[in-house]
Amino acid sequence: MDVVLLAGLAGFFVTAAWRTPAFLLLVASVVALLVSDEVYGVSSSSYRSGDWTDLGWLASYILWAAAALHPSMRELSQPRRRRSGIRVHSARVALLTAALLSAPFVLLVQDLRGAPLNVPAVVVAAAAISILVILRLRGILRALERLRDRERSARADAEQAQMLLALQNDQLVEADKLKDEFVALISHDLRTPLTSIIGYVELTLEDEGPPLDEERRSYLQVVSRSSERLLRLVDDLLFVARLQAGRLVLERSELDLCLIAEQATEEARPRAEGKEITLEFSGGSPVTLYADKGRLFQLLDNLISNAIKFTPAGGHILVRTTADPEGAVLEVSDTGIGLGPGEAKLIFDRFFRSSRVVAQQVQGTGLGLFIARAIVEAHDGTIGVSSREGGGTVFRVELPTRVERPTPDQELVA
Amino acid sequence: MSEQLVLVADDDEDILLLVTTRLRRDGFDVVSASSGDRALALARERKPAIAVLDIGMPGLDGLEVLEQIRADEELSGTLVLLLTAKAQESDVRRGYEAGADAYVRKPFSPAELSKRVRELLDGET
Repeated sequence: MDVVLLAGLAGFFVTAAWRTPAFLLLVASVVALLVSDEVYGVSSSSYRSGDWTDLGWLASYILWAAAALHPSMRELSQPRRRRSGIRVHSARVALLTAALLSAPFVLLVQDLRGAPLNVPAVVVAAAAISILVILRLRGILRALERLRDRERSARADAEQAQMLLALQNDQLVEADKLKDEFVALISHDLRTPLTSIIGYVELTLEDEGPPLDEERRSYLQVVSRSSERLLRLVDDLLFVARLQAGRLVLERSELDLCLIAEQATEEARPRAEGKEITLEFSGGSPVTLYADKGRLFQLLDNLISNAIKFTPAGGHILVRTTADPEGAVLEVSDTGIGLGPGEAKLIFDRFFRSSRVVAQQVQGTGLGLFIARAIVEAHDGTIGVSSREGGGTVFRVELPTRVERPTPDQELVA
Repeated sequence: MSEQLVLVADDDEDILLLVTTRLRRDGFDVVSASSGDRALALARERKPAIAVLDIGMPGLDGLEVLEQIRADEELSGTLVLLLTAKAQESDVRRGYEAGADAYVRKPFSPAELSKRVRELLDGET
């Protein structure tokens, strides 16, 4: 009987449920029972009912009951949730083997001690242990079978998922192609009519005197300005589409940032003066970069246009280029409305527009600074912004100089 | 001077008229063509000093007309300015590789285009 109990205990160890308090109580009760049994076995001749050894059995039954009543017993008695797979540890196999061997072991000990064999008891115990072990083994084999089934169905699922993925990939490629065609359409079909609009308005505005009076001339100037804005929007959208498609290719050449900054400043001057803003350029010696001229011009134009947009009349904008051994620095500072709290982090995001800007109905798409950052990053540079005390904003762009070679020729050009 | 003859080719009639008008106002002799094939025929017939070619034309496109002009020994002195609505930088490179002298992106200011034509012709003479 004790041997069966021991084997059962071993079985619980195998289930790896032994950390629960209920199980520990159970172990304690079994140990108490076994100790009492052994004490009784050794001194059975002197045993009398009501002896102190009775205390051991009593304690065992109390512990047993406590184990049964403990809340964690629920966990112990429920089948454990299967984890990803069953683990056939060598320790578990050893325990099962030990349980199976306990009956012959008892027989051997009895024989060595020369004690009389109680054959029916030993047979019942051995049979009980064998049945327990075989049940356990069957459980393990079943779990293995389940595992294999699960693996098979998982593999089938994976294959199906892969097919679905391939299908979606095809659809994505198709969508990408449609987008490319759309971008090409915008590129061509919007630009061609814009060429006519801008061109003919320009031709008409050149004609001095009748039949065009001042009022009609001003109407045409609105058409002209609006067309330029539309063109800028088309260009910005095209740029972003190309950027999103990962097809922003830089056409790098050796150039002078100082010269480009000056040209961009000059080009923006009429717009600044139209708003009564002083626009200044300050550049020292040539800043030679190996960069995309068109894109740098676009960057400067975006930063300067931005400054003009957010600087009130009577304000001041300064465009500055400097070079140091680390790289080229370009700064555009203004005395404009500055940044709201927390906006410095957001302004380079696509389609970001400050709530104050929206409230004041300042025109824009929220693409300018996003494009500026993309251009700077494509050149391995950095762009940052800081709000100045008492209003105003400073944009600072740092670009790595590949070639720094101020020659008299370039100074002449600058 | 006959060197000042300008050939303009664009399949968009409005733009063709726009460029032609602008160049005529600026004192150039202008012949115009609304297709690449017509442009090439006119180039061989009139031997213009400069050809302003739109890249995107049905039939022979601007680049093909440019290649034909470059392949024609009798037209070796002809300057070529390409016009394109495409924003692709690769087109610009292809144009220069094919032997274009200048490139103007649509939409353009007619005055600017006229200025480029003048600069190219002055640089040549």
